[in-house]
Amino acid sequence: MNATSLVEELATCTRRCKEMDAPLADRLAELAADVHRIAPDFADIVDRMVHRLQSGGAGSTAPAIGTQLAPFVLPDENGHLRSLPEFMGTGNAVIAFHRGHWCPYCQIEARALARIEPEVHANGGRIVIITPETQAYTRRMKTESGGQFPILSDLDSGYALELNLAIKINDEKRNAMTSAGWDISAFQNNDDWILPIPATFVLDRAGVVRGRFVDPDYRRRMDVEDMLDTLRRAQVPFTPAA
Amino acid sequence: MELHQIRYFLLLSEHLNFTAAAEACNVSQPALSRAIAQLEGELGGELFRRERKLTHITDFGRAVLPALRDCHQANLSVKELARDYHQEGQAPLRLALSRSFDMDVLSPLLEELGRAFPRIEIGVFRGTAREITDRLRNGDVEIAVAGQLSYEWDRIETKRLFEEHFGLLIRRDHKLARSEIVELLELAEERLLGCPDCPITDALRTKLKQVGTSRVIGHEVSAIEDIPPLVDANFGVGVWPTDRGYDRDLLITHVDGFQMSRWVQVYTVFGRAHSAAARTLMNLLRARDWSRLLQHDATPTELVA
Repeated sequence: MNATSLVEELATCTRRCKEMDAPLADRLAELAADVHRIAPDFADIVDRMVHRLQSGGAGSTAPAIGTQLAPFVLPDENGHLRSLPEFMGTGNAVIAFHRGHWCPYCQIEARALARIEPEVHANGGRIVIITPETQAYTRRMKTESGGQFPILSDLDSGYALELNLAIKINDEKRNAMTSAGWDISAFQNNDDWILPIPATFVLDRAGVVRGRFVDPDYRRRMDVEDMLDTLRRAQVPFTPAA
Repeated sequence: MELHQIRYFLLLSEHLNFTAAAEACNVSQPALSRAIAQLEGELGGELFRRERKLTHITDFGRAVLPALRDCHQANLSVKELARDYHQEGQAPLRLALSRSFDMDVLSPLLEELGRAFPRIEIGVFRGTAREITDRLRNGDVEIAVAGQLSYEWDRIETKRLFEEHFGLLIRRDHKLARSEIVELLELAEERLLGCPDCPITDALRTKLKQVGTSRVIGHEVSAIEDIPPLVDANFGVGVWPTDRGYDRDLLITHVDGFQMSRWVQVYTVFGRAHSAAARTLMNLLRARDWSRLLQHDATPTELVA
């Protein structure tokens, strides 16, 4: 199969999975199955990368439940600097690291986040997405997701590294991504080929991590129901387990 | 990758000696070796090779070095900004801009900086590529936004921002005003009006000489804003950035088969202590949606009656 038709077929699958009436985990799994079917070689490369990351414990040292999330000040899709304390001002927050506008799994998750956003807002919470992309792409991602949430540019993954979430894409994966039309260097304004491990942190009003989902298998994300549950629990201050 | 692994990797790549690097990292040598081995495991390749007492960086190590250095530098910037944000400390920012770069493009970014650093103090220098390069090299400015520098050295950090297109600014009653494209030879009799050492003007001049124009007459102005009034006063055709507005009733035309454009980049120097404001501006410049500047078409702003 040539690269163009692969990209087109993937886009069709992504659209279908985005709009499916099913839990987020099922929609992501459906897309992963589609990728295995239409691009088995690509899927093998992904499996190898994920296996290598998992066996080395990548992401395991990201902020743990009960710890304070490190502060950030990053530009949003309109070029305005936004800081973590500003989002904590009104209540709880969901901080989600995404790989970028091009990533079909991120697209599916962003759409799912947009759907729960009214409920999060109703409870005084905020959703914030962080990607390593420049504003031309964060803006596009926001429009396509249908969400109100800011999408922040973490250029060169400096903040992702602070949370031990940065990974380097190897040559094999880079070539596979480039062939699929995903030349992330153009999206990130660098030649680094570094991406964040997609991760979600649910913070309480004190900025303490109350919910955490970090998986080097980027095809899996925190379920939105868990997110909403954790946000409800985070209404009361954190007490460490005895 | 973990922050400390990258830090150790960068220090070891400088020292090329496990004992010295462990000392610089303030850890034991086994801890350093373990962190490097973990990073090698994650990256899937050997970063260093030990031969007797010598430590070499491998080709693989060299290949991943720039990316990891960028990421680490970005991490330092994030921490610095988070620490200094909204603080009352002094925030000096010395900046060099090419003459064609429109301050209107920069002003929203400076507005953000002003909010982030209430006591920011800026110094803006405009000049030729040569002057900008010298100032960057000497440390007189921390950041430069310009076309190609006149020379580069190994510690220069460059990021592309946008492609700047130029055209020829002419009077409506000029004989070349009848079409949007002019032939190169039609310019043989024209006087060119541009900024000193402007690479676009120089390239056009060279091209005209190549096609046989014996002598190209030119006018020079060091402030680009002076070009429209001088064109209006019949002082030739102006070399003008097409995305920039002007407050005269003039036209922009293009030379057939001769592309007048250049990449505008942001420059800084590695390894120097930069102010948090400079690092933040660098990030704001890089993150900005430059496609918007290019989409905006060069319609002249309305003449005030």
